[in-house]
Order: sequence, then C-alpha cells, then structure tokens
Amino acid sequence: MTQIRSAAMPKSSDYTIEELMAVVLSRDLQDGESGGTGAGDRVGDAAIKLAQLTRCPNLSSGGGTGYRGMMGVEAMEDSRELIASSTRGFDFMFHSGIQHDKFGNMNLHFVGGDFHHPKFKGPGVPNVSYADAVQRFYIYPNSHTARNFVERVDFISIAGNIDGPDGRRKRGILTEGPRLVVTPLCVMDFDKSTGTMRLKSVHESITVEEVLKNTGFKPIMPAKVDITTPPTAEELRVLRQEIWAAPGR
Amino acid sequence: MPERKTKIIKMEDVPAFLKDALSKGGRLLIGGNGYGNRPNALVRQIVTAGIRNLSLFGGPVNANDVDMLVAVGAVKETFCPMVSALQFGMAPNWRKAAETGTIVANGIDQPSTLAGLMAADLGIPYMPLACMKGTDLVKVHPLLKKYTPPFGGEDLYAVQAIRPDLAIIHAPAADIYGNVRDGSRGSSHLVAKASQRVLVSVDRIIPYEETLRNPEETTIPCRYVAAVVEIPYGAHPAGCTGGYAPDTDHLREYWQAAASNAQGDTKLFQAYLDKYVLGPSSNFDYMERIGGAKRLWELQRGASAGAAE
Repeated sequence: MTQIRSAAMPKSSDYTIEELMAVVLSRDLQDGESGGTGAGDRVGDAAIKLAQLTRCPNLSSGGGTGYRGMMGVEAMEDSRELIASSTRGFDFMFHSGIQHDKFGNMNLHFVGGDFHHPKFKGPGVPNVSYADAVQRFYIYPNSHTARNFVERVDFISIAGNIDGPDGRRKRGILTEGPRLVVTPLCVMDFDKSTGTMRLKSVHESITVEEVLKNTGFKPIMPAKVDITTPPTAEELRVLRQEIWAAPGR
Repeated sequence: MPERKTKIIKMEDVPAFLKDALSKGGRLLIGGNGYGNRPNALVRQIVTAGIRNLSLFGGPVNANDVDMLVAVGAVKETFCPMVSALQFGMAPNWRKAAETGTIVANGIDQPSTLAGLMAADLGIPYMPLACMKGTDLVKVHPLLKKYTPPFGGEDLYAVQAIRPDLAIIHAPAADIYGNVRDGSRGSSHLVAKASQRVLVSVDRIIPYEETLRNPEETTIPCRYVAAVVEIPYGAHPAGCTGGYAPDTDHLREYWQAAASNAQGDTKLFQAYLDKYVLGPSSNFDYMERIGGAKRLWELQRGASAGAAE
C-alpha cells in the first residue's frame, strides 16, 4: 500500500462532522470481526476501512455478494449468501432510517397514515434481518432533529430493543442489538434497565441543551456528559488521504 | 439434420416479444442492482410498447427503472425492497404514486425475494426463512406466512414461490445460443431459473467458440434464456460490470425531471421521455442523444477507474 505522508497535521478542531462520525464508529470495531454496511454508504464504509487501516488488519466486510479485506474485494459469493448471512449473521452492521425512536427502532417505510395509505412514503430497506441476525448494530443518521428522533416510530423496519429491555428476547432475538447512536450532534448508548437511549457525549461546540431540543423524547441523562473524543491527526490523515481521496477504494 | 436455433432477436423485435410475454401485464422482474447492470434499454422498450398492469419485482435497490415505469402508468404494484434515487435522494414518482394510491407498494425485502425465487427455481410452493424477527415488515409482507415446522424447533416464515412471467436482464456478453456471461455472481442466475421467460440484453455477442473455451464464465446457461438482444450500452444510464460506469450527469437530469413531474409540472419529464425514450429511432440514435462517442468513452474510462455500479 502506498503511504502518503502529510507534513501538515490538522489541529484537533479541524475536522468535519462526517469525519468525526466515521472515527467514532470505527473505534468500536474490533480486529478479526466481520460486518457490513449499505452500498454507497460513505460514512459506514469509511469507518470500516479506517479500522482496517489503523488497528484491525483482520477485519472483513461484506454482505450478499462481495467480501472485502484490507486491500479490496477478495471473494464473490452468489445471492443465496444474502439469506445465509441474514440467518447466521455478522458481528456488526450500520443502519439509519427516516425515524429513530428511543428503543433504537428504525423506520424506513412510511410516516403518517398506514402502510398502504402513507402520508410520507419512505424508500424501504433491502434487508430487515441485519437487525436481528447481526450481533450488534450502529445507528448513524446524517441529521438529528425532533422529527427524526421520535418517541415511537410509525413502523419498525429495523428492530432495535423494540419495546423495552427484554423486547428482543421476548421475540426470540438473542443478539445485542443497537449499541451506539452516532449523530451530527452527539453519541448515545443504551441504558440496560430500560433499553432506551442514554446521552453519552456531545460533540465539540454542541451543547446538551441543543441535543435535548432536537430530540423528540427525553434520553436518559448520565451524571456527567463527556465531550466526544475528537479524531487524532493520524485518523484524519488516513481518512482524507487513503480512504476518501483514493479513487475506487 | 436441422440446425441449432439461435436466440438472437433484433432490437425492433423487442416490442413484439414484450407484448407477447406481458400481454395482460403480469409479473416482471428487473435484473441488476442500484445503478449496476440494469436492463434500462429494455425498460425504455416497455414504455414505448405501452405495456400496462405490471407487478414489478426487483431489488435490492431499484431506482430510475421503476420510477419511470410508474410515472408512465405501466405499473399496478411493486414488490421492490427499496426504491430510491440513491445519492440523488428519494424516487419521486414512485413515492407520489404510493402516497396517492395510484400503485400498491408492497412491503418485501431482498432475502424474502430471493427465497421466493429459490422456491420457484426448485419447484416447491414456499421456502422457509429463519430471519425477519422483530420487524413490522412481517405484518404487511404479502407473500409471507408464519408456520410451525414439521420437525420441531421455533416457528419460521414461509415465503411463497415467486415465478415472474418475464425477467429482463442486462449482461456484458452472450453467445448466439443464449449462454450469458453476467460478469458477476449476483442473483441473475437465480432470477433466470425462477422466471417463466427470460429476455437478456447484452453489450456484445461473443463467438460460440469462446463459450466452449471458457464455459465456467457462463453464468446463465442457454436453456433458461428465451431471447438475447444485442444493445451496446444497454444498461445506460446505469453502468455495466467491467464495461462502463453509471452516467451520473444523465441520472441527475432524470431525477430533476422526475421531481418536477411528481410536483405536477410534467414539462421536463415529457421532454426527457421525448428525447431519450420515445424519440430515438435506434440504439445508435440513443447513444448520440446521450452525448455520443465522447460521453461513452468517459463512461468506459469511469468503469476502468473502478466506478462501475
């Protein structure tokens, strides 16, 4: 691999929200794991590659067809693998929706009205099973408002904790489910006793009040809310020069 | 001794083929994924042939293909996991038709689509699925039933067999007898085996000797293929494996026209249809209208830089 060294290292505040989100997601991935993200998904894809290039050379990603190692696609499987991996599962997956609720459920199908008479028709989702079959998943919407963070989603496309701390187990789902919510404003994790979102950290220059004002439910508040740890200079260098600047990567 | 029949049909024979296969509408499956390997030239032929009453299958992500067929009134219902403009946002005509009740947009996902196709391929009435837990999609999925398996264990979902009346597929190459080289191991092999009839457009016809030399490169055997039509750049504005990248400028033009159409101003969309769908006298005429040799060269260069799909 060509290593491009930059003389100019960015200051800690010199990063975009997109870069911060990719870095936060990347740091939770572990070497040797296998996971995936949707096609053409810039942030989730970068999070995986950043992990591969900095800490996790044995991490692989893939879904129904191609399996990708550190340097690119290493194996192609046929479409039946999409069913197999929806049952057998992966270690992790990235998801986002048009609505997200406090239990980490996501909706991509409709808002308002009912399924066949929607006020707002969403795009749908290729695979609903990557919520129950994967060990854990990450929620990373590209906006955070009181309209897309709601008390209850109108439709569960992607199942989070469903309706409480044992919502998944009651339905025969044995995997962890949603682990982290990484938004343009903050990072949330999940409170074990209620199965609901808990504010973990706010990004530099964002206040707790701003997060609460833009959230349609009251997240669990910890004793102390941290500032999200910013990207390191090395993480930014890899993201900018080896991932996002490289054609075809 | 009689001669072996070729599967080749001419571009001008495509409308008659489509009208015959879809005379009452019926189930049409569109191959490819997102902006990769979509049979968009055949989709345009469906528009010009005036086919109506279609039940569309596809996946994992359908885009301008489904949006355009919905906009021209060819579609009764969709069984598509996701319909989206991808990097260009939502698919406005499909969305509006679902919101106004012009079409029924059924709730289905890709593993259940594949399971239904597998059941059709194997000649069995349904395929068990051990996934889809915890989602509301199982409550609205039209082809799904929960059942208790005969050998014990937890309840499973049965997906009804999906046997499309016609599948349209675009591939880089095929020989004259219909042995298709898809260039990938996506779902087109399964789609072809599950469907009653299969029409394949290819960028080029390869010599039969080439099939004999490298039979492992044949992804769809000829026995599953009804007809092959040579349409260079037939996936455009989508890309095709190893050949050319998606035409993002053209796609942006489509989605802008689609957005204004969904808002009630049909002018741009009609102009798009006139220029690219109804107007071209031949595929070569279409290639001129999308920018000619210079544009095609750019799209080929895009594919070699790794931007296909």
